Amino acid sequence: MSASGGAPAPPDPAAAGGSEGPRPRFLRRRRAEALAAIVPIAAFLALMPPFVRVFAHDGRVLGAPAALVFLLVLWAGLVVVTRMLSRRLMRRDPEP
Amino acid sequence: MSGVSTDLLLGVCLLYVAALFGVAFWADRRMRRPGGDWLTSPLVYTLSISVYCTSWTFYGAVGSAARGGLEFVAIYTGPALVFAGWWWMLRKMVRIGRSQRITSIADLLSSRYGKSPAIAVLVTLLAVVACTPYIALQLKAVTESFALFAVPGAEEGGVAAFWVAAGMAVFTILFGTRSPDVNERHFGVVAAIAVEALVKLAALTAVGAFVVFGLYDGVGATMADMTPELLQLDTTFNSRWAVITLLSGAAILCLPRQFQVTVVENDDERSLATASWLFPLYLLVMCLSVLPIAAAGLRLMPEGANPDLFVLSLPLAEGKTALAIFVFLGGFSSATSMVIVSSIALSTMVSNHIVTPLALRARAESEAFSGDVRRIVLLGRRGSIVGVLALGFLWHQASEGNAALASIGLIAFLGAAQFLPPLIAGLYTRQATRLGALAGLAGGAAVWAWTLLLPAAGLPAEVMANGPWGIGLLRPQALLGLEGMDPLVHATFWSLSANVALLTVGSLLREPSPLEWLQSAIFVDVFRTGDDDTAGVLRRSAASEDLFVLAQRILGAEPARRLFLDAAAEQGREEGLPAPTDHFVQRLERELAGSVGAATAHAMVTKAAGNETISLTELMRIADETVRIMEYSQEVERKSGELERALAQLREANARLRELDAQKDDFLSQVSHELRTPMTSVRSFSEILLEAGQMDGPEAQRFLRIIHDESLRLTRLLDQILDLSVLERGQVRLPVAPTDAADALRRAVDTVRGVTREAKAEVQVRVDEPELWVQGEPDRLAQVFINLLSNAVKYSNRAQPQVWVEATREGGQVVIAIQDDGPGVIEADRERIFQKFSRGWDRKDPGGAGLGLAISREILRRFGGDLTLARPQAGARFECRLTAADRPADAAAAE
Repeated sequence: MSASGGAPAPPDPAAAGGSEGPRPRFLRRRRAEALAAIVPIAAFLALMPPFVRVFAHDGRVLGAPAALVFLLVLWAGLVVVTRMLSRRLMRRDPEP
Repeated sequence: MSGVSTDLLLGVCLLYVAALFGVAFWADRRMRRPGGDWLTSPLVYTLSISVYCTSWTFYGAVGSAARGGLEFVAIYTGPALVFAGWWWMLRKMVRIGRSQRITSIADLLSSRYGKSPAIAVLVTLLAVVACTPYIALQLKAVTESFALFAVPGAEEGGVAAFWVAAGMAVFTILFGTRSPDVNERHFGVVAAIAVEALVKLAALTAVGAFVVFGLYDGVGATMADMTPELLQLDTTFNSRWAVITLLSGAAILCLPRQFQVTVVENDDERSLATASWLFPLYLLVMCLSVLPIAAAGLRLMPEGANPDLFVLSLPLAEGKTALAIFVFLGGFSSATSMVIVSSIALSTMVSNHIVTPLALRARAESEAFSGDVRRIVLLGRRGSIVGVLALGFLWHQASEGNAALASIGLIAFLGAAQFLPPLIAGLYTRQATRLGALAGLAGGAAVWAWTLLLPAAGLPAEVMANGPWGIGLLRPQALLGLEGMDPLVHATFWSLSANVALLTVGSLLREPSPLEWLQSAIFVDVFRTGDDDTAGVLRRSAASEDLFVLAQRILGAEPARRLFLDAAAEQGREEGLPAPTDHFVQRLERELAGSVGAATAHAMVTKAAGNETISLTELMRIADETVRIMEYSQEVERKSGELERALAQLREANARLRELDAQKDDFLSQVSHELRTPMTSVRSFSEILLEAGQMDGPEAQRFLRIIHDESLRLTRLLDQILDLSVLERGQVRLPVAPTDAADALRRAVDTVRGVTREAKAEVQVRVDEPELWVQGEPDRLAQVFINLLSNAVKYSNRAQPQVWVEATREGGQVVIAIQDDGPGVIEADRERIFQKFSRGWDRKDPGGAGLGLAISREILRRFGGDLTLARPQAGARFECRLTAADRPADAAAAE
């Protein structure tokens, strides 16, 4: 009983400490790199017809044309996300 | 129309220009002293990239918005997206630019495609052709804004344009050509451009704020005027929108001036990380003012007013003179910064790839190896600046036409976009070759010129309508009969398609030369290939003296001396010139490339050092990415193999621990089993004595002695069990001496008699010789035999078990076999039963602990013998093999 109880115990602290260790950080970095490609591509697709035509109507959001609001929100979001990603990517030596 | 006199305007203008010169001069000086690091800060870098926003943005964006609604936004979303994706594209370009000392987009492409001079020339020519109208456009914007102020001198546009061009030429020559080394950053220019970036942003935003809060009644009212008619939502998001996004994204990478500020002037990749979000933010702020100004202009300005100048004419019409002058300066800033950087970039390309090679060739025929190349390069660059600006001026004079600002800008964009296919192919694939790039560039440029540039410059109406010589398929805006498309979309589709197709076909047509293959490896794998990796590929022999002369001529005496001293020190030489190792020659070539471009530097070094031989093995090592990937994956495999092995070891240890734990749990029962054997005989004999009260003396005496002996053995056993761990670790030395095994056997049989009697077992003993001397110790031998005998009785499932005991001599060994008539040992358990603490092979047996067999085997092995399990017809047969010994001399006496 003592052995079977003790055997699973060691991996638990290892997994908890691992989030500070090199492996998960490495994985997080990989995710940031992938996002650095996905975010601009997604933004590009959102700006292209047919999707952008979703907002090409006379409707208004808070008194402003929906298309304008969409462009502004998308652009501002792109700035914010890119800033977060660039900070994460530059946190350590960028060499893979 | 306005209260601004021409003199005042000129005065302000001159003051502003003087201030720019001051800033540039001050920044140049400041950087030469410590503490000027902030000039290289990410903020300054980002502001310098905003040279993207020319007067086309400043004036033209509003015009474009007034004519085409939201379409103007696409000019800015493309660059924003490219910068947001900096990690995958711009970072690579910047890294290559820094490591290979790239001087221009032409240099980058030529260097990638085997340092090809032909590509450098083609790219340079294309860039000049594309940018000349663009420069003319800036002059036009400045003169038109002049004209708006100065009523009497409206026709002085040509004069104003001339002076603007001349002033910019002086500025650029002063601050842009201090040294032929393009990689030496132009801090003065960059600082001036950063200031101009702030001025134009502030000016446009000021007009925007004036319109929103002065002309409209705040944001709400402004938004109310954003009618669907103004935004033209129905028609905006079409193929033209997509094409403009694509072209503007390409322009931010490929326009010579953008390449100059983004890649050549880059000092630190971290700056790029900041620019990745700050530049899109700058563009966003720039765009915010555009629509309100356009809306107000359309509402307030008279019919027929040029929308391209709403930014300026609105404040003028409202009588805001100070604001108008500020706006004028903003427009002036955007125009001048573009002209300055463009002329630096274009002049670098023209002088490095056209003028210098020609001058060198002309000289080489008369006097090989002499003359100051430095002077030629600088002269060439200054001449090129004047030439580029003169071209722009001439174009401006020639095309007094009314082409809207936006259309000229887009023509330049598509021209620069021709660099995109060879650029992307060159950065990401190894297969793109020089031939393909040349064909693609030439074909794309030709189609671009025919479908977009020439129609804008003015083709005869006859050709436009019916094609050249009446060939309808070649009509510029309906190539191959593709009619009904927007001219820009049409030209983009055909030129880029031709470019990509020719690039692909040309690349697959012929294999790349070794130098191309090497360069492709350096470019594609820039993040994996260190600088030193490529050393040893190019083998060249040169005299250090020749190289030194060459370096002096290009870099200048002092920098060359420093470079050679450095290299000598690196090679461990106290004095003198460094040895012309492959590594050094390559480094030198790269340094030279920073001044004259890769193609020219390569040609010069080859001239001094002779043709290189490319070591194929080295090239394979460096350039073969399959090998690289294989090495990498092998490394990964090795590491995961190590991990797996460690994991397996851990698992094994864990299993072993569990096993040991289970064995430990069994320990007490094992021990009691061991104790039970002697205890059982003690009990049996005492019961016999108690029950048979009339037993005669000697028999009772014998039983009592057995009881006594067993108690003693019990005590000894307890001691031994207490020392079990010590015994297991082999720390107990058993006294080994000649022992009579037959005697021990007889004692053992006597000992178990009580047990056998109880089990109604019959023990048949056959001993060949009365004395069988073996190496051993009597008690331990008896213990082994008792164990085996009691096991034999215990594990027999018969009502009257039969046990046979035989003692025989086999050569140098004595074999004592103990056999029963029980069920025997199943095959799977044959080895297991000998393990310590293993249970008996009969799983149904509750009390069997199995320690006995393990200890017995251990004991016999200590004596130099062994305990084995034979394969009899029936039952189980254990054989104790012991080393035979000589009968000791005192044995008789002992008996």
